[in-house]
Amino acid sequence: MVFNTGTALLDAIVLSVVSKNIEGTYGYRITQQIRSVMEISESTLYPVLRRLQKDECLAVYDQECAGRNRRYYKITERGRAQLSLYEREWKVYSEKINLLFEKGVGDE
Amino acid sequence: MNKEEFLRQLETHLSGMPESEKQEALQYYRDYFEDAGPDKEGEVIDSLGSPADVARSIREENDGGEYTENGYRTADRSNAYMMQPGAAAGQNTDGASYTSFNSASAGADAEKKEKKDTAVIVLSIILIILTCPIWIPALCGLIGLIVGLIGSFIGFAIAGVIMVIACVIALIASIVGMCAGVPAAVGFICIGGAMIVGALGIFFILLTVLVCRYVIPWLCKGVKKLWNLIFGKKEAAR
Repeated sequence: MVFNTGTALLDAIVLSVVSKNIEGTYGYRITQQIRSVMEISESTLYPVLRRLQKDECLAVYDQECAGRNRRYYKITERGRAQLSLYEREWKVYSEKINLLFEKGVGDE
Repeated sequence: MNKEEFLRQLETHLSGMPESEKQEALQYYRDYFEDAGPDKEGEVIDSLGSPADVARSIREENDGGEYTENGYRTADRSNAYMMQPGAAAGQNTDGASYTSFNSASAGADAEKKEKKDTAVIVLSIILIILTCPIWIPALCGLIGLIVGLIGSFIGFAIAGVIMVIACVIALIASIVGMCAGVPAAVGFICIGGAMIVGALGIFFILLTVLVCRYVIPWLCKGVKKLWNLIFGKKEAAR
């Protein structure tokens, strides 16, 4: 991809993907879902998930699956608040950029 | 390198980190391999990069500092993160506060702001209704003024065109008249008059063109700006 994905955007993407799975989701699945729309390396997400977990935006729990414990991530209330903030900011930002691409900048 | 080998090397590279952090990371990557399935083991190892790189990304995140992965996202990304809390006020021109991740009251702040915004919107609506005896006449007056201005502008334009036409007709009539025996003095006075009228007509037309070219776009921009000022702000407040 040409554009850099900054930390805030990556946090927003992860929060969004996790929030869409009410029952919680796991690292491999989150990575594959994000990789279906953008290029990230498979090692990108662990630090992000860990940080979001430390910031209490994500909660983790272990659940047995096929004879082993799998770690699940679930969005917290705080994570939701942060995500809605990101979504609002993204809307404003992307609209401004789109407007600039389509119409240019006005002389002000 | 297989999965077990990868995890063993990763563990070695993570030595020195708090045990809980280390186990957490190892568990994550063990899960990751399990979820990918044995078929994709090689693919995952290729995509992850060397255990040393993976270890570095884990370690640097844990230290709260920068971490690096595959080239293009290196410095930018950590800078963006480090900068945000401090640069919040500067980056947001519309006043929506950026809630930093690290601030303890991130969620509560956002909620509080939402409530405050609703109150502001309700208050503004009440204020708008209460002040309607003032702004409705003012608005009507403004609309009248604009319509009047447009009317006089159209008047000018039409007058200009008619004056030019009149000038041409008068010129032709004067020349025809002089040929038919009207005294030369009268004829020349008529031609002079026609020329003056024609010049005024051209002046009016030029004025109209100028207005169309500059004033109207300027007005449109002004109206748009005003609109954004009134309604754009409200949108942002919501």
